[in-house]
Amino acid sequence: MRRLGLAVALLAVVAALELAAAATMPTSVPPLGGGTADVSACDTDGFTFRHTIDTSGRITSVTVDAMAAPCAGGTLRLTLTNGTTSVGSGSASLPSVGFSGSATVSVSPTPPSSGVTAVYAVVEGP
Amino acid sequence: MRAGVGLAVAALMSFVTPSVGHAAALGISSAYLTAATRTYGAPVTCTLTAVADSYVDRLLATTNFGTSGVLNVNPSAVSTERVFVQFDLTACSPAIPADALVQTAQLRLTTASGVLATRTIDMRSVSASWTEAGVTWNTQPAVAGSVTSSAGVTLGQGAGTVISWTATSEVQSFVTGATTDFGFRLSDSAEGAAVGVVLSFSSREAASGRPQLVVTYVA
Repeated sequence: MRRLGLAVALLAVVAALELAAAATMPTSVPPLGGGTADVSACDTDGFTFRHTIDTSGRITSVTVDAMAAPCAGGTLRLTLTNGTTSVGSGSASLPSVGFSGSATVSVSPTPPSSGVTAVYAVVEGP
Repeated sequence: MRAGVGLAVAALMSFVTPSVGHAAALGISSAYLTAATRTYGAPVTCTLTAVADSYVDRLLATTNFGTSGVLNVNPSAVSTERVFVQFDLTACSPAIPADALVQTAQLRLTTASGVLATRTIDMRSVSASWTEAGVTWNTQPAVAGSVTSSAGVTLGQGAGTVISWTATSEVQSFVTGATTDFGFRLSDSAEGAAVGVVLSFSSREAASGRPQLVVTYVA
């Protein structure tokens, strides 16, 4: 009987620890980007976009211009949306050497130009 | 009872461990993370009237028809006729920015007389300069190898029928500057016919039914 009481008490302690851990869990997560490197922007004045449309009226590729030199060597990811829905995407590696500030990304699937309301571009790295 | 404790500890570990993994997944190793967004506004439609148009005739190879009130297309092997038409995209107000997204672009010609035969008319983009007052069969500019779009006319269609070709791809390319805008050429899809049939459209010199380019874009 005494052993059973001890076991019940131990279980209660474990349960309390679990609850405590759950309550404090968010503070155990490091802030975003706080891990391995500082994160900053390779370009601060924005990009421009030029679309290529096929004879069916669908966007086949997007050329991103005006990317600053520090973006060289990074990866450009592009998403076309209709409202909040992604309707096409693609990516391209930006050359480390001889980077012109422009890159063309093929889009898949190819959305009709009349069904695109925004373009989002992200450069990661180098 | 030890098994019970073991289960409780295992449950605790399984609860805590994912949070560690989650933190690791949030780590970013990139030196840069740059985002840019282009959100398009409401569609804008610009309707342009041709700034230059003419047709050329194989039989009258040195004759210019720049001031004619009609634009003829003819599949005849002897007197083949082709139409050239050009628009000034910079005349749109407001101006179409280079990063605009063209949603639709349509070339519209209006028949100047009744259609005498069912035909298919091909549109190609022109790849060299030409002038309304100078173009002839012998001096006609080169065109793209591939057909941009085709439109059919049907025997019995009356004068005043609007025929449309889709030019979205070309106009987008003109807007971005990827290709130079030298206009469009219209020709019968089966040139070389033994018997010719003239299809006449109204030119920009006509009183009505002038060639139009209707562009809808977002910027």
